[in-house]
Amino acid sequence: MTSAQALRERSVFLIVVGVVLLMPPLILIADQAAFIFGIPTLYAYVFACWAALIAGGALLASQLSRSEGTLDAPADGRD
Amino acid sequence: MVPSWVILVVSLTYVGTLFGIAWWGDRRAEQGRSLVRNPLVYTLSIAVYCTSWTFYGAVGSAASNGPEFLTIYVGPTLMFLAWWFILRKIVRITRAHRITSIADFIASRYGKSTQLSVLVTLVATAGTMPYIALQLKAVAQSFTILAGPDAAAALNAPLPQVIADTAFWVALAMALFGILFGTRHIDASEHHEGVVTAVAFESVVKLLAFLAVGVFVTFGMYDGFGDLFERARTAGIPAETFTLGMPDGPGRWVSMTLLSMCAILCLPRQFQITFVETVDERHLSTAAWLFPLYLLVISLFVVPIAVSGLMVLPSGVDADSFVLTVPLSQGQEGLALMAFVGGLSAATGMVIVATIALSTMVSNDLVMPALLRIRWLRLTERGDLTGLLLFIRRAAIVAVLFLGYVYYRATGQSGALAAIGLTSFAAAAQFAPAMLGGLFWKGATRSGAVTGLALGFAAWGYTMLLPSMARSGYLSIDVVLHGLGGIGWLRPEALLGMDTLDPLSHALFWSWLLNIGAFVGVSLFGRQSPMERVQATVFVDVFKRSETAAPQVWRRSATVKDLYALIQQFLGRATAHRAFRAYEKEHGVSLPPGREADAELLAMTERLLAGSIGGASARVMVASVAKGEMVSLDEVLKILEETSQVIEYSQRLEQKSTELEQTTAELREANRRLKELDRLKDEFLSTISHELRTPLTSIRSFSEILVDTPNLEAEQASRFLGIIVRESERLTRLIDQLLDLARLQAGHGDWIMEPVDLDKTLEDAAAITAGLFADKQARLILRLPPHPHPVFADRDRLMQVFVNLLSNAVKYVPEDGTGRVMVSALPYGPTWMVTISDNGLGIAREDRERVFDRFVQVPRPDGAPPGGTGLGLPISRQIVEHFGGRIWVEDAPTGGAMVCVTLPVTRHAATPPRSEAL
Repeated sequence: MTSAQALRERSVFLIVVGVVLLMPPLILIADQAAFIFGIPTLYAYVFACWAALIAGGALLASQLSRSEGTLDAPADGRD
Repeated sequence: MVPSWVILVVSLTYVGTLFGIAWWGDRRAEQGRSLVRNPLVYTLSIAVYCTSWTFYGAVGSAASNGPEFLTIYVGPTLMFLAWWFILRKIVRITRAHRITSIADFIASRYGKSTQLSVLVTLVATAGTMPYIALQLKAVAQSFTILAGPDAAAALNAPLPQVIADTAFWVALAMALFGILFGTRHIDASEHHEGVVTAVAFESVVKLLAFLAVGVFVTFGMYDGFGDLFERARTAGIPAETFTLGMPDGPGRWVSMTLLSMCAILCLPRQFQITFVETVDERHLSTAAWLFPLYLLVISLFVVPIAVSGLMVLPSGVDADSFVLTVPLSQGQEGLALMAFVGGLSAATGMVIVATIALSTMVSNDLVMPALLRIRWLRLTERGDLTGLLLFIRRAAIVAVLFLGYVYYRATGQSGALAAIGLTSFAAAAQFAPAMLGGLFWKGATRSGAVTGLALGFAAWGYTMLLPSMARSGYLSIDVVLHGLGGIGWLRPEALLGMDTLDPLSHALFWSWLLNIGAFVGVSLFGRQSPMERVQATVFVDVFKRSETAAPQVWRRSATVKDLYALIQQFLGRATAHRAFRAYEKEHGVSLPPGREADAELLAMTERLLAGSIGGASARVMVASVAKGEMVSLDEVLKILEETSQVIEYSQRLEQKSTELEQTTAELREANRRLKELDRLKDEFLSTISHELRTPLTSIRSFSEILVDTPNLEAEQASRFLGIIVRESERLTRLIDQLLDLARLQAGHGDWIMEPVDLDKTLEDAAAITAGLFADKQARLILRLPPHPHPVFADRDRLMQVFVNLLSNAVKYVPEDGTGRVMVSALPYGPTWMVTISDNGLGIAREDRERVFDRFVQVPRPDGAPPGGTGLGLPISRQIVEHFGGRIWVEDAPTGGAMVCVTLPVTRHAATPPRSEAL
């Protein structure tokens, strides 16, 4: 099983990825008056990133909550 | 249009259902079969975040401002991704300290400060009023649109009489609901299970209603998303509608995302639902992804509805009403009615939770502290106060809704839904620095929080509220255009002439700059009172101590009776009885009324009271009974610090024990190796004594024969003497080699390392062993390259190796004249490789490494002992390895064994030999 520490680090990474993907300047790349598969690019981009973040979050959340039982209180206190 | 009476009947039925569900939820809770002990219900209740602003306003925003409405959902998604670090911590603290509201949370963090709780309550009320008004407005407007003959005309119609105003009746119904289910009893845990159940139900209704409209538009009116956008293009809606507007778009995107990230934590109703009403911390792990998923699903069809509204409706129709007007325009009255119910559920959900949250704050953090301070009321000496407490709560609910209604009547028709909502978000965002800062930074002080909050709130009022009031016509618009009193650099939307930011980002920048700046600055340069330090430690280190290990601040000065009376005063007799019985059971003590209460019982009393009247008030109440004789806070701090030290020690101890374990493992390994070496030594000694004894025995026995038999024949005697001499030689050789090996292994010996001509050495070795080859009638074949490079070695030692290997090889070749030994030298990487192969029987694979052990001998083909000492190969290996080379055994191409020796060319074996031989 992955250690709780590693899971915490992964979830920080996921948050950073989410912020970077959904903030300027990256989001401005998708901000075009154009369509992809018939859908405006910005909407397509945001919804795709959003769904991916939720999926990643769901995966990590189940692992994190399972790891909770194995964590001792003092080790937990760093976050 | 839909007849008014139908709408009324449907609305009444819906609200009636809501009451029924809340009643059912409370009943189930009383029976101990709670409905809210379910992560799904918890998640749905958090979705109270989606108000009528989402339901109607998001479509309006998408139609006029493009994609920026998405930020309202993306922000919370990002915040919920961080649930493990932020949300979980707030939940833990809220549950451990029985926090009742965001005002209570912030006040408790900064030393249970009444000043701060009052300030937070005021800001929250000021920020929430417009939001409640917005919900009422949305309900009234949607009713008018649905019932009216002409949607466009309905918007501009004057407000109806109060008695005929839907919003009034909705406000009344919500007040009733709040009183019935929000203040049914004064609960020490501040859980309203009925309300939560009803709110979760409302989240389902609004989601289904919105999806129904969205699916109808996308797949009923058009042929999917692609077709919809294609038609929009041909209808002349520019593709720029779907991009962030320039130049303000990116700035607003960032600001709004930040705002909604804070709003999901700091809006009083979100705090109430997400943190105060939680029954199980583990539900968070589901809500962490399920709530963002809810947001994603409910925003899927926002753009299609907006786009279809732009296409099918005349340009005068308010985009905020597209959810209703688009189905109406298609003759779908039933669907429109369903959408109306969805909007109603979104609005009522928000109103209910916000009202309960605000009324809790008003009663616990505003009214109770004030009443407790007024001495002539002698409140602390009265009997049962539960009635008074309930009355204050109920009055607060009515007052909050009344104020919201008045606000709605006063502001009337002005302002788009989204703008009002954002104003409210920005007010709530002022709590974020004190809240998040207090969660992770022990150094944050009360003065810092108060100053930051006050300045941030002031800046919000000036840069955000003032312009919106001016635009609604309550103030001269000149204030916005030319600044307060005509001073240009005081313009609310371009403070100090800063006109590069859009108004929203501008307001957020200044309010946060002042808020965070003052919060951090004042904290850094100020001092914390002991109580603040205690609370800071308790909050920031919440995961480091057990839940009940709240610091015990009280000296034993109150009697059990006093405390019982106190709890009874605020929570009623039944609750007091239950709490004391539970305490007795848990601690295994009995509590006679006259007994002195210990510190723990006092702490429990304070916690219980905090759950119903807030931390600050609870402190005052307990102090009134305990006559202010608290343990000095410095003592408490000392205890706290000692606890942290103990924790630290135990962590260090753990580290030490891990190190110890490692050392033990290393020692065990060393011991194992020593034992092995010891065993090898014993083996060596026994082998060596055996090897020495064999020649000695024969020397002794032949000598004895010579001594005991004087008349031995001369021929016989000389044969015996010959054997004695040979055995002595063998013995000497054996001892020489043993000494040699010992020297080599000890690393002693004189080594003259120099470049040695490999060619010459091999030829010399061949000459020395020529006699052996002649005896066996074997042939020695040397295959040497024309100009071999010199190798770096000690010449005599190298010679010893070759002689050894050659004499070994010749021992095992056939004796019938076909024996062949071939020596060749080849460049091998940066070294030379010499191979000596024979055509004997070879060496079995499993023996190939063993032959380099001492005294190991491979029997000759005829089974006779080979007659060596068994030390030749070990010595050779020692020598070759000393040179930096390797020696091993392989199969020879001629069928026998092949010994391979590599020898470095220089001391470092760095330069490869010239490749001419390749």
